[in-house]
Amino acid sequence: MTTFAIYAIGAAALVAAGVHGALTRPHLVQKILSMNVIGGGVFLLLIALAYREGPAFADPLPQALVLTGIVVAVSVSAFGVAIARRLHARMGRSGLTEGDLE
Amino acid sequence: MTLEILLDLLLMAAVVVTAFRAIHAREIFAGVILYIVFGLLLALVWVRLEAPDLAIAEAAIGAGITGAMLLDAARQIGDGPPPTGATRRWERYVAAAASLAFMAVLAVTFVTVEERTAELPARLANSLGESGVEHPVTAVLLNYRAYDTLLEVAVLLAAAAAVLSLGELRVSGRVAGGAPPQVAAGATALLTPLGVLVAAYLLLQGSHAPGGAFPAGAVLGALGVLLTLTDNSPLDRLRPAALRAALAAGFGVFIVVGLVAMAAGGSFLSYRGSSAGLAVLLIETFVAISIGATLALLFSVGRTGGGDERRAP
Amino acid sequence: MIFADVVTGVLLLFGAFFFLAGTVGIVRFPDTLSRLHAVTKADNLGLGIIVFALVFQANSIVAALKLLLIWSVVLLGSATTCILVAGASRRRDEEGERAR
Repeated sequence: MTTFAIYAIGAAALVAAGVHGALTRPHLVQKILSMNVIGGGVFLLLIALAYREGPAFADPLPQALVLTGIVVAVSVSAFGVAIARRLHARMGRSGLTEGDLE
Repeated sequence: MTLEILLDLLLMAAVVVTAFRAIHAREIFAGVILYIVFGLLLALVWVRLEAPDLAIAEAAIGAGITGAMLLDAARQIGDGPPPTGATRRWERYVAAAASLAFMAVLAVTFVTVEERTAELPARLANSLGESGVEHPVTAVLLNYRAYDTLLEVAVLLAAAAAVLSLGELRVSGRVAGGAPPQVAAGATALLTPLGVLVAAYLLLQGSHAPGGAFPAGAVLGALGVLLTLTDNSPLDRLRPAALRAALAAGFGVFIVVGLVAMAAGGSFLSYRGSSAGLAVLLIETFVAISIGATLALLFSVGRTGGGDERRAP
Repeated sequence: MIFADVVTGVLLLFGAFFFLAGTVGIVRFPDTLSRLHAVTKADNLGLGIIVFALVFQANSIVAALKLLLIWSVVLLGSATTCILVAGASRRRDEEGERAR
């Protein structure tokens, strides 16, 4: 097992756990949270790849991408929270029900 | 098995387990707390993988601001009627099995990604001098790939506009009812100047070491959240026009600098050589201000007042 | 040089021990207030010891001062958070009493 393999498998686990959570957890806050976990997994893969190329001479491009990615992720979360609040204010509920998917 | 591998295994296991527990916590509030722990552990991973810029941003934004935002949302809408999810037992089993299979496929794909040497580090090492900064991540962000960063700043602006259109700006509102405890007010009074100082330090340090506009903006944004929670929101004191100017300043200055580079005979956003340092610093300063203002705004919009409101019948 | 390394190592172990104690407290103690007690006291002391351990590795006075600054900011933050959390917990308990 190398360091890269550990973090790559961890990234896979985070993405899968996030997708599973986003699909199965009913509450919108939990869905947004799961989405952020998926993002964390993707970022982890990128940085693990950069690290593998040489710890002493890491590729700065993935780091720059992830740095902006973190900021974009928080914007997406804020948008999601705003929609969830709106739904709660208008409909009095905080999740999707089966009828919404039809 | 070396000690480092052991550390990697422990750290990764902690991250994955916390993420899983955060998603599947019975109480939403507890889940968000676990998510904050997840963000902090992820920041440790960034340090381990030689990406300290990310560690600062992750701790301030991923754990800090996203965590505060979700906590606030959980407080406000978390105790509504529980929505109905997939409840049948076989459905849950199918979902779990499918996710495990998905994870296996992803893991195999990720681990077997072909190893190849990126050309960029070597090329950067040769030409870092002309980018105007000495820290490679800053050079990539604000010079070589400035176009990407410009669009990312535009995404932030779009998010602020979208969120503003969905909820009204009610920037103040404490979490707990009653007057802000003197202790919190005192701590904020001490932390505010220190936070601004740290942001300025990170901004200037970005030219030669981890730091720069994004971590600095993250610290400013976190400070804005703190002030909002103690009823001292800096956004409250700005007139709407000034607020919009603060939100758009980064994007605007970025474009203007790009156009100036074009007028000087290059192409859009192509600044190299002697004036590059100034261009990068100018963009970074305003982008940091805009990121800070946007993050504070994203946290504040649509909040309703503190616990009092919820307690009212 | 060797001497500084030994001091750092010993102090790091001490610091880690206090963190461990604080963590055991947060897991084992029964209610919010005693958990806060465990985590603020033990972890702040642990962090302080770790900071002092690292001061011996700092290669300049400025770096050492920065480390101490980090500790003082954490102290300020955790003391404030502790009081806020304790206050919120007390309010919740009082509400629970009234509801009954």
